[in-house]
Amino acid sequence: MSGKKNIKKSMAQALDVPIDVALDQVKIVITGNSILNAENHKGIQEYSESKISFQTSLGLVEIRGKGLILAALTGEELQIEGELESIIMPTEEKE
Amino acid sequence: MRQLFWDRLKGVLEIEISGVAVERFLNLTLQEGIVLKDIIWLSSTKVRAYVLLEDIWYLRPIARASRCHFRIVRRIGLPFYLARARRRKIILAGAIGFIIAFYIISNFAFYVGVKSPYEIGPKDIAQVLKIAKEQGIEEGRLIWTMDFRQTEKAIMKQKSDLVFCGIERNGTKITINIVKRTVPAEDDKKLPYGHIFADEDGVIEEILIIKGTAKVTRGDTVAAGQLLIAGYDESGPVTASGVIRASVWYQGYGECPMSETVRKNTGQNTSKITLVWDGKEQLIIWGKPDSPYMLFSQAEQREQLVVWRNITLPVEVIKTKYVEEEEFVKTRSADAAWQKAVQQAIAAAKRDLPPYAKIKQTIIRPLADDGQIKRAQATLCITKDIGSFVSMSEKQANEIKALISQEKKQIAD
Repeated sequence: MSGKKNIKKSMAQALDVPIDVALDQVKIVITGNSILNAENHKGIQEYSESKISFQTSLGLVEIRGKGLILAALTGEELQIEGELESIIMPTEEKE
Repeated sequence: MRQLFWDRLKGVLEIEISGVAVERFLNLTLQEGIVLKDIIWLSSTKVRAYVLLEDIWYLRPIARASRCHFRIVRRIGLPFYLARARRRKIILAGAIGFIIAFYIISNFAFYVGVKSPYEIGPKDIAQVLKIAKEQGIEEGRLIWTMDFRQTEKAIMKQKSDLVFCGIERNGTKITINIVKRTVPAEDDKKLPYGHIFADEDGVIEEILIIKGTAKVTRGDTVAAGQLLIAGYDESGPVTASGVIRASVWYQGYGECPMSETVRKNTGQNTSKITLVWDGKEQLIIWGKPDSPYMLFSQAEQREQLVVWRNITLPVEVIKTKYVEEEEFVKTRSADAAWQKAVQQAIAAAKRDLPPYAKIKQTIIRPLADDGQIKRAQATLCITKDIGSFVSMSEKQANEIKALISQEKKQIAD
C-alpha cells in the first residue's frame, strides 16, 4: 500500500470514517451463496454464466459460479445472483 | 425480473444485446447512468436485460460505440397497454360502455320490500306496497325518479295505523320501514279486582281515593298489612286505586367509647417472596419465613409466571408484605364521643330510608351509658306512600257481588 493510502487509512481510522468511503475501496456483501452485492466497482470486465469479473480500485475481482446473472447494474453498485462458488480477490493493489 | 410497480408504470423493455464486446456495452451504459436489470447470459456474444422505456433512446449511440446491437424482445408496462388500447378502439369503447351500463343498471330498483321491527301482516305489506307504487316506488324503475320523502308522507296519510314510515336505499334495494301503532289488547285493559294494603306501620297523613272504599281516615295509626282501600263500591267489586301517604319512622343505633385502643402503622415494613408449584411445594427465595414484628398487618400478592401470551409456568410467585403496627389509646371528651355516637345512629337509620326520601323530623335520644361508652338512638320521620295493591280471588269478587246485590234487594224491599 502506498504511503498516501496509508495516511488516508490512518486518518479514516482516527476520524472513525468507514474505510470503503475514505479510500474509495470496493465493498462486497455476500448473502448465503446466492446473492453478492458490490459497491464502488469500476465496470464489468467479463461476463458469462459461470464467471463474472469486475474492476475495482484494488484490481480485478472474479466471481465464479453457476447460472450467474447480473440482477442489477448501476454506476456504483452491482448485484450478482446465482449459485456462487468462489470469489478471487486481487493479490496486489492496482497502482 | 423484479417487476416493480413504478417500473411497470413507466414501461419496461426486455432487450437482447449481441456483439463481440457485450461487456463494453454494459460498461458504457454505466457511464451514461443507465440502469440495466436482470442481465442474463445467453451465449458468449449475447445477453438479455431489462431497461426502462425512457432509457432506450440512449442505448443506440452506446451500441454503435461498442459495436454491439440490440433488439427489443418484449414490452411490459402501462404505456404499452395504453398504446394497445388506442389501437383497439372497440375494446376501449366496450370497457367504457360496460362501466356506463353498470352505473345505469345499478340505479334501477331491483327490489322493493317492507320491513318492521314488529310483526306485520301480509295485508299491511300489500297496502304499503300499493301506496308506494302509486307514488312511483316500484321494481324496475330508476331510483333518481323516485321521491322518498313524498312517498313516506303519502303512506303515513293513507295508513292511519302507522306511527312511523321511513324509506331507505341500499344499492338497488329499497326498503320501506314501518312501525304500526300498538293497540292494547282487550284483556290488557281489564285489570283484576283488588284491595290496597299498608306496607309499613305509620300514621295516615293524606288519603286520596280514586276507586274503592276507604277503610282508614287521616290521623289513623296503621300497621303493616292493614287494609287501607277496599276493592269494592256500591257498583260491586272494583280495582282499588288511590294515594295513601303516611308518616313513617326509621330508627338507628350508634355508640362511641370515650377511650379505645387503636392501631397505626409505624412505617416499617418487610417482604417475603415465595415460590409455589403444584399448589403445594413452597420455597422462600427472599425474606424471612415469618413476620419479624410483634404487631403487624400483611398483604399477599400472587402472580403466575407467564412465558408468552397465555402460556404460563406451573409456578406461582407470592409476595407477602408485612407492615409493622403499634397500639395506642385514643381518648375522646364526653361531648366528642356523644357527637360520634349520634352520627353513627343517624347513619344507621338512613341506611333503611327509601331513596330520595325527605326527612321531616329527626329525634335523637341518649341511651343508658356506663360512663365509658356513649350510646344514641336516632329516629327519622318521613312521609311516604305506604299502599300496595293486592288482587282478590274470583271467589272473593263473587262474594262481594252477591253481598252488594243482597243489600240492594233489601233497600228496595
